[in-house]
Amino acid sequence: CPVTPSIMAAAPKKRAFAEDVGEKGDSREDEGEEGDSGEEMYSGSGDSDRSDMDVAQEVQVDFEARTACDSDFHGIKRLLGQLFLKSHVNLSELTDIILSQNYIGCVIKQGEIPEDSDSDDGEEEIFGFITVINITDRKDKPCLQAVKALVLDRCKECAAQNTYEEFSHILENDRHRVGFLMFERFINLPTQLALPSYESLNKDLQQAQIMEMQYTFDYILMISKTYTEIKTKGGKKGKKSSQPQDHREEIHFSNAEEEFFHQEAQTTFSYPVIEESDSGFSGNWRSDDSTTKPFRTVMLIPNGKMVEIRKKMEEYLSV
Amino acid sequence: MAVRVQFENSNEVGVFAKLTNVYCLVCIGGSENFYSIFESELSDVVPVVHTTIAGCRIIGRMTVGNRHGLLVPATTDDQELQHIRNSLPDSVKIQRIEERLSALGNVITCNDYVALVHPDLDRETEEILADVLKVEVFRQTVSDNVLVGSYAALSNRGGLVHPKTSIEDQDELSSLLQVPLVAGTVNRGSDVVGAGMVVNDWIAFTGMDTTSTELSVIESVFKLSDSPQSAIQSAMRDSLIDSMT
Repeated sequence: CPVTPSIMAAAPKKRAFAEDVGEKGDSREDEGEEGDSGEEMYSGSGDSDRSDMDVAQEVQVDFEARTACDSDFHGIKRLLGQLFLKSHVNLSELTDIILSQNYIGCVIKQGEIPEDSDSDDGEEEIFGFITVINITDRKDKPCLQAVKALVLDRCKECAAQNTYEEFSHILENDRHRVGFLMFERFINLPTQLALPSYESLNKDLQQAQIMEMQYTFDYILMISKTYTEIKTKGGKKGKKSSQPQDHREEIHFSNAEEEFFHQEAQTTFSYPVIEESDSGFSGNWRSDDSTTKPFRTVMLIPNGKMVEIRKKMEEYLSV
Repeated sequence: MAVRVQFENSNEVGVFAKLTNVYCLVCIGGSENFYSIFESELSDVVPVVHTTIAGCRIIGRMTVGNRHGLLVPATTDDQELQHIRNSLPDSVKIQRIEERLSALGNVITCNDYVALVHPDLDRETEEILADVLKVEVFRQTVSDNVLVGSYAALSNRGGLVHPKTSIEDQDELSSLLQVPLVAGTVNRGSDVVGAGMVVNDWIAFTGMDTTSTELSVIESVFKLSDSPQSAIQSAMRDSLIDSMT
């Protein structure tokens, strides 16, 4: 069961999600946790199969959302690396931008373990982070220009002409404020984390909007990690990686909640990343698994649709 | 001098390259930017060889070498071995060795005179090291880390070790290795200094994230800076700075 190695005490308690702790700020009261501003408690658990005979056992893990700080640099950069793979985007610069606006979004860390078996010297692993960057207003940053260039270049190669024109029109035109939404996490983290994370992001954005205009967006840009399955039974082979993704072929999302974004998106396209991934194929963890081919799906979602998406997330993801 | 470089968005230069005073090995990468930076700095002086080891790109961690020789793991292809043999100067002896701890770059660190090895390394490997690389071999840990190749970067003029290495450990290692040592980081706080950089007697390559402070420490311990050090750094240092433990 590929979950984090630290296991909480065996009693499987069902914790309530995202205890709403009001505004994040220096004056908020912590729940006995020292030194962290802006925390909410999440609890993740797998399926309800509790049988001890089952090899894949359930593990109860607590996650916490914290404000990003400088020591999280390497963790955030690593997570960005899994999205961008070998593209020419300066991830250090992008990470610095994320840290400079750490009041938007959060990083996901493990909850405090009462008995600190291996004392971490202040460096905790980051399991995920969520944030939105305004790429229209910050277009002087080379890494954001690189992101835009990456999207447009791939779009030109892999998508229809009118898709490219639409992307080009929205991204190049300064009148549309585009926010680049990133929610990166380790691949096996449960989807239950998504809803509280997005709610938290929303709150942060609303607060920031009161202060500064640059956090209201017309469009949201999102690059998702997706894959298609190659059916190994019956000798059917998957498409060659050099061909663009066919809309008929089923796209699976590594972060399941991103499928809602896909449904509400104004335009989307996918490009293959099989050459950039370290292993040619993934999957096949169990004998009945199929192998998969990795893609990146780029989506532009009009800001108005975010309400719809949130509704769907609440409907499907609430515990 | 010290140069910042990046391999396909990774800062771990010591994983993808191996640098000595008479040759340099670089792995085959998607975009050739990495290779071209090494070439532009080194090609007039030493051969820069493009290769993989056992089909893997992590050649810096799989191999160990100095001016006298190069040791490669048993998994190296015949073709790769032949290519390396053809490309390196004749003075460099190349040997493929059978060793359980096959990531030689992680378990051994050496310069042209001494080598530090993992405490569990085979006796036979130790002998081959002494023979092919012409070094004196010491079984030691670096601040309790057995992967000496990962946590220490060594040249003939100095060494950089894991930041948590105590002063006593540093003194002990320094007297074994007969070079000045400093405990520090590379690549903006990474403690895996052996994998984060490569160095020889006149140049060092580190990742893009390396801060200017880290670079100045590297330049001073490995004696890479072009300008002679000012009096404040050498003669006056003792009177100005008290020891901090």
